[in-house]
Amino acid sequence: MKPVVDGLEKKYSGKVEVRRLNVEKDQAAVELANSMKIQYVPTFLYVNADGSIAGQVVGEQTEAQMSTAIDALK
Amino acid sequence: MKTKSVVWIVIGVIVAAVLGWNLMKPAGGSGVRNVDTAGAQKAIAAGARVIDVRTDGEYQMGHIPGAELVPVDQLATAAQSWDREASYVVYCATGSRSASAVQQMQQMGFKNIAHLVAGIQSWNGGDLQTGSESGGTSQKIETAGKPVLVEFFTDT
Repeated sequence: MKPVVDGLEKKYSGKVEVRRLNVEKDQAAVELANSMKIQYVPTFLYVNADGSIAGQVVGEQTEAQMSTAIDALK
Repeated sequence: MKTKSVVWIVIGVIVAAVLGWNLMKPAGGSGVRNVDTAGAQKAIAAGARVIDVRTDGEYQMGHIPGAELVPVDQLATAAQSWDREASYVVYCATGSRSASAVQQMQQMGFKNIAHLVAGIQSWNGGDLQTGSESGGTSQKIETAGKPVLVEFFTDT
């Protein structure tokens, strides 16, 4: 998924923040994942600017699918 | 002399019986099989032990029901007391660590291993096809005033 997310980070540079959380190495990531009841990786959270979660998608996605979800964020 | 001959005959019969039994065992019942979700589910339904070789944190985030947590670096020690003849399903996140675990188990003499070759992600992939996208939750994420894409991932 890295090339896809890299591409999106470039495409939405300055407009959307991309956070990559390694649940194998980062305890804070594990805690957030637990609190969000995230069970599998990769999982993507689409978060509006106000912090509300617009969607949670499990599994690999295409860049087009992810762009559509990002474009819908407020 | 006669007693010795009888003993040797008995030993010979036992050896022949053991060899014969091993040769007659069905080929499909031994070795390592690379399986997908359906194959793993079939093995689990048939009574296989499920071994999750990821880390504790990953395990807590979600695992196959009934799976035992045995991180790959602890497997060689833990598996010493396991039944070599029993059936096992082994998995990790992507199939990388479990490949190493399966190799170790093979070397230790385990005979019936179903390897979820693409990891728990592939298990989840099946769910995605039936629509795993969920709507928003009530929880909020801290932002810097702009939308955020958060990816939860592992290296392996």
